Amino acid sequence: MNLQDGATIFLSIFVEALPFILLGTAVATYIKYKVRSETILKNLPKSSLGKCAAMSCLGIIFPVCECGNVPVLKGLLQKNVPPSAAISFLLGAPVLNPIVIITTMVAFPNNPEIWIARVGITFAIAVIIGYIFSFAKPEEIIKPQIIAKSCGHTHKPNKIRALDHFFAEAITMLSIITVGAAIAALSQTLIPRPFLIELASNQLLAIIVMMTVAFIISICSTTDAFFALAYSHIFGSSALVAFLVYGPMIDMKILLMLNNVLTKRAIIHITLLATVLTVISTYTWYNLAL
Amino acid sequence: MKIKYAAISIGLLGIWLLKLYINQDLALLILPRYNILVLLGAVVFIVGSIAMFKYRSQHWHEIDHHVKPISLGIILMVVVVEMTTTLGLTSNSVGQRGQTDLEDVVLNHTFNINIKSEDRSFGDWIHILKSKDLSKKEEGSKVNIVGFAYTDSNTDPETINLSRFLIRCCAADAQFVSIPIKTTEVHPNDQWLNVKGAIKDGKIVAETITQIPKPKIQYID
Repeated sequence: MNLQDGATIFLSIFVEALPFILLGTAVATYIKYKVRSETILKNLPKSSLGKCAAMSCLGIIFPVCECGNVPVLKGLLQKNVPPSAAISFLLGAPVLNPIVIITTMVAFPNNPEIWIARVGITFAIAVIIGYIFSFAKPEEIIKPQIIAKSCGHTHKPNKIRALDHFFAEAITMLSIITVGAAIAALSQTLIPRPFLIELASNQLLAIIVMMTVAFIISICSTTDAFFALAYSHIFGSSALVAFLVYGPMIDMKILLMLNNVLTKRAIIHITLLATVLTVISTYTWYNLAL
Repeated sequence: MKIKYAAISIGLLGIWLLKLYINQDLALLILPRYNILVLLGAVVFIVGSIAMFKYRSQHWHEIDHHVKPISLGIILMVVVVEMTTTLGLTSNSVGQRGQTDLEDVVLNHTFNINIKSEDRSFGDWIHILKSKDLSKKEEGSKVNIVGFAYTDSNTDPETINLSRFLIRCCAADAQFVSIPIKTTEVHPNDQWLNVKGAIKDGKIVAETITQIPKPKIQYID
């Protein structure tokens, strides 16, 4: 393992994620002090399924990458947004936003089925997983300290209070992303990509391999389409779509950041559901299409 | 008391980010288009640090009660790591990343065929050499490109792979790309070279190869 390469990868992930974490934390602080929970809740559909579908598309208004979404998730939960809908936002928003859709279209101009599949499958998985969680109690999903801080109403916007909240959140998230970046860098330097590629002897294995790559490299959804493009001659469309769907939902750094907000059980269930649903949906989509 | 430590930590982080920006070391980590975001982050941290010091007598409830000292320590570790290591990817990571074949390389930048051949960039030549038709049209054209040397057991004899890392977002997604250069010279891996030559039969044949110091902008996109 080369220390210089490992350190470069570690620092690159940290520095790249930093502005988006600050942006997500700023949005979360804004929600805390300026947005009333009644405003959010009255604009959501009445049904659980409707709420999940609507919240999964919130990335259109807040096109923040997956790092920035975790502080926003926390802010939404503290405004009494149903956890199921908030989880749909977490899983859907990193992909269902104009920036990611456009970059995917630009990366695969002759393969519209890839960006259509990315959007469609991400939306479906975000809504399904969110809806499944609508049957769980909030205390089974959210960490107690998040529930304890939920008051549902806006506080008088005091500058020091807002700065206090912003920097407390930012420091916590950045420390978590530091650990996540270190683990991702270690994984990249220890697990050779050619080795993973050799494992992909059939379509199903190719899907699993690309999902593993997505989990390990932990890159932003705004540019992952170009990264996936480099593997387009090795893997079929189903594996590429699996990479593009799974990476923004679940990777090393997101899991560590979620540990600050959701219970371990909820994180495990989200991970398992996202993994299984991605494999099933991408495998089925292209076999049905053929 | 904790507010002082938080102020010092984020102040140091902001100054560190500013230093990376001013020294152009960000180019070794992320795409230049994201530099302005990092600069804004640095400003946020520095201004925040000043505000915390200025208003330290006021009640910073969340930082005092919810920020763990280890979080501050972990953030400062990032600064320590950067100050104790050299930045930039090396050919040692080729084994982990694999090599991307020339025909599979996809670049972001716009290729302009009308510029002088000697002024074309590494990315421009990849664009040309990928295409048999373009390579034929450029037969005899002068080449002047910069990259680092890489050879391994699979490299053809009398060839050096002039290489760069292609990044989309940050060094974490880097792909290793190289252009084979016909030459009898031997250079160690990771040595940065300026190759001047010409296109012959679809390949670059070197006329002069000069060793150069590592440039600030090492990656292509």
